[in-house]
Amino acid sequence: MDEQEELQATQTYSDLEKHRVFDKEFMPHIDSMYNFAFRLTNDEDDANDLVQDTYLKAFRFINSFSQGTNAKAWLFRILKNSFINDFRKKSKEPAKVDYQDVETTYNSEEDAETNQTVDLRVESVQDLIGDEIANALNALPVDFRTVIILCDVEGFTYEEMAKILDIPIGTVRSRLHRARMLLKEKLKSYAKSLGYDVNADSMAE
Amino acid sequence: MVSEAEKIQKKTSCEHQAECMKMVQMIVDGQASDEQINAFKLNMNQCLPCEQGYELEKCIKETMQLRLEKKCVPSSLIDCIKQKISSL
Repeated sequence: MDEQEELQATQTYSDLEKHRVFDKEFMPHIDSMYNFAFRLTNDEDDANDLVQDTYLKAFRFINSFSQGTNAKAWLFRILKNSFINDFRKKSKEPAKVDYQDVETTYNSEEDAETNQTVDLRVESVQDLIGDEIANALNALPVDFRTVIILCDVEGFTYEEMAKILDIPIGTVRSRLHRARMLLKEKLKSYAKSLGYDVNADSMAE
Repeated sequence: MVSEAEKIQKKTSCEHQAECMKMVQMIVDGQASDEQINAFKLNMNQCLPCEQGYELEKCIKETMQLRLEKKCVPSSLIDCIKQKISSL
């Protein structure tokens, strides 16, 4: 379903109801929306613009939102589409992409069966500070960063993620798997650069 | 005294690792059924790579939830949105 179909009016709210739905159903999610926007754009001003665009669009198309349904997922979907369709094109700083990562990862996204493992200790991850975690996440291509944010940070289910991203649930699973493999590689690099022993314990003990 | 369960020697390699890691992902994401969770826990008690894989994935997920900085939305942004909405 494209965004146009998604935003077709199914309700007819009065002006008063529109404002009430907006305040009650949409505004409580603004912190999550802002953090999602910031993680996508890596820039506070860009995040401001993206959130503002999203909320104005949400109000404009409020008749396509049914009260009592999942407002957060609906808003996230609009934000994600705004980011892809409008924002990414005019972003002042194009996303920095490690094309080797993208090539490797996309080539195998639909074939997430391969038995890849990354030697990384739980202790090494626990020793990393927030900035190092954020840098590792930010180093991922945006599509992979997105699934990790939606799943791990925002707690969306696979079904909700499939709707937000407009992809099948199987692709959510495989993309998440690939994203986590990449994230572990990045975390391993950070842990190694900080002098941690990143190799997993010998399993033969 | 060592229990019977503790006497079980854990496997040091997993012949189903790709499948097991998919299940680990489902479990840490809260997407697995009770039946799947119970079956995996039985397996994990006997398989060191599965146990380590589960602990690592759980740790990374918790780390993402707890240690990523959560920014507060600027109040000026909220004011700006409300102002624009009220003028529509």
